[in-house]
Amino acid sequence: MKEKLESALGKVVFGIVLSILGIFMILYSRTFPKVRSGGDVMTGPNFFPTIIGILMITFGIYTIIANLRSMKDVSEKVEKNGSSFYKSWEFLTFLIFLLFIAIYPTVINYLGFFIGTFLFCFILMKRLHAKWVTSIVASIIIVFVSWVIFGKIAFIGLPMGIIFTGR
Amino acid sequence: MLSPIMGLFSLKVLIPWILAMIFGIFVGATPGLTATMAVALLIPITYYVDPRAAFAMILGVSFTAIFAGDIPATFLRIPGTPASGVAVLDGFEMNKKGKGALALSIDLLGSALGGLFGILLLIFIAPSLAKFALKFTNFEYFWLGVFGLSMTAIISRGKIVNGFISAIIGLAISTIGIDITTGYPRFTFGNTNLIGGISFIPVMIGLFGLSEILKNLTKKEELGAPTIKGFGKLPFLEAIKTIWNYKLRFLISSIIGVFIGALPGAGADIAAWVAYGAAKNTSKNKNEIGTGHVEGVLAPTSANNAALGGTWIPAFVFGIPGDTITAIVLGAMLMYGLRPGPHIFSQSRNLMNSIFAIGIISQILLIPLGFLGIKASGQLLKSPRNIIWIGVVFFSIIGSYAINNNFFDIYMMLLAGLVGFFLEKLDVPLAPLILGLILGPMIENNLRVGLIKTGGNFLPFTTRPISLTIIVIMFLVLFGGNIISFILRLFRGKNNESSKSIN
Repeated sequence: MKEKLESALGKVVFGIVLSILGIFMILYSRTFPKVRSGGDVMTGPNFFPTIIGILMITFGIYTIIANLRSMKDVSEKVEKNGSSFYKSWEFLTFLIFLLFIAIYPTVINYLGFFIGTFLFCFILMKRLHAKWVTSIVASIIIVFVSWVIFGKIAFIGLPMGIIFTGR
Repeated sequence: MLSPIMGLFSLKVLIPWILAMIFGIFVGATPGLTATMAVALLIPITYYVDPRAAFAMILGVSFTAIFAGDIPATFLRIPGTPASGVAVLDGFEMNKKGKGALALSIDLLGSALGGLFGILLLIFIAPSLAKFALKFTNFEYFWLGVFGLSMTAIISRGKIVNGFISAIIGLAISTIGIDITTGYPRFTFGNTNLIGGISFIPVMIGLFGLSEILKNLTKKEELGAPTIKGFGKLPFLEAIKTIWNYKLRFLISSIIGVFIGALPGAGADIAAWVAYGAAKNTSKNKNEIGTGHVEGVLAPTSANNAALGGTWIPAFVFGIPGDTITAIVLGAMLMYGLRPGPHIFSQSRNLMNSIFAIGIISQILLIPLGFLGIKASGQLLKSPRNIIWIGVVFFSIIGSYAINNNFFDIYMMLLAGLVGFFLEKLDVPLAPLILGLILGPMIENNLRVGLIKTGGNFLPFTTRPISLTIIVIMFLVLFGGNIISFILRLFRGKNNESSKSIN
């Protein structure tokens, strides 16, 4: 029951975000230059974003209305029990993954591709309960295989690290 | 006729050819590395080999890469190439049911046969189909894009409103970057990384791959389990039987593939979506397609490889590249002194015969090489999930970076992963978002240029014969089933009434 309420509430919030994005698209695209030909205004760069903005607002409002109704029905019967995903080990792991991916570019820029990738692989594998030896061996394999495929075969320039190269 | 073909079986042609095809399997199966990239990487090497070997390498690598993109899409829900986007639907669903090996066997055979069909059509009807494709103007391309987008209604599995929301989000993202008509940067907020627009490979990797891993992190108890289940022998006999049972679907999808491939600017990815949409709407198993049905695997895979043959039609006949791969190859052809155009078939007959033979033999070679690719991936993915997921996350990150050698694409992948995770929680299907992203520029540019041509009048969009035909087909595909069942109900009702009155 609680999940249903969360889902309906989530959809209402999604509808609001969609509508706000639609309004933003329309207003922002009004700042784009107009295209004129012989005095007539032609379809300019704002034409398509405006149509999409209108569609976003329409669907946003529809989502809000459709789910507000179902939210009312459910909230009358809501029971407050059971553990939430947002307080669990899984949620913390979820956040750690996001954080690690977000800081990975900065880390490999400084530490270089080899050390940075190895460290991140190892820490994340340990977080997912992999054994010590497995984590070390698998991390080395991942680093090596990705270096061969991307660095050697596809000629992608992988960062060597500011602390080693000085730039 | 035979001597240029026999020359293909010399070691100096065969060895680079097979090596290139193995390379194509690697590249296609690696998220972030595309078939285009594989061809581009091979071009410098082709300078040092026999011209026939060069064409064999290029054609072979493009066919294998497109197929191999379906391997991670089926096993991990990460499309290896843009043309494999559809394989994340039924292919992945079959894998979840422990039928990943069957899905990929059908995929492999469907790809080889679809590619063969495309090459045969290239040989026999290239000039006439190319002439027809050149009749397409902005009006027709606009409707073709709308037709593709209308597939949202079909692929949304009953969540049509949410599907359209997803497609609209995709269309909105497609407007980011330089406006092609005026050169004005839109929604870039001064960020130079956004000027070229959002590359859809990081978005696809994030949306399907990362979001899937994030979702699986919530299942703590399955961390040590094998990543894929039920992967044993590849059931080739069952796959052949399946393709035989759905031969009409294979034929229709391949024809769709060749036709869309022959349209410059459209490509294997759009062909796969349209073929899937057609299958989902016209098949008698339409309710099962989307939940892991063989027809949902066969339709897109035969269409995307058949489209490759299609893209060569305008390339050879008029020198107009159908997609990025043919654009690169046209450059290489000029380097070998070949001038694409209507006279190419008479002036360079021997080389053209060799190219056609290469196309056919590549499809045959694709089967054993693809088999090895599936086997190797299947064995690898028997490893525990906690190891494979981390590997996949890092391949996705580095693959996103590899597109433009730019960290910004990693952030785009991360953002797409988060968006995908939450959209799925809200019951919003992800596939239409990719459809919107791919078709957005095609729809917008052709609509605007068309409106500029007509002085803002939309009527000419609907009155040209080909436009009108596309509109009618779209209408029939979307509503044909409902109309027929309505007429049947009406007819049955009348019959019942008359039989009652007789009684």
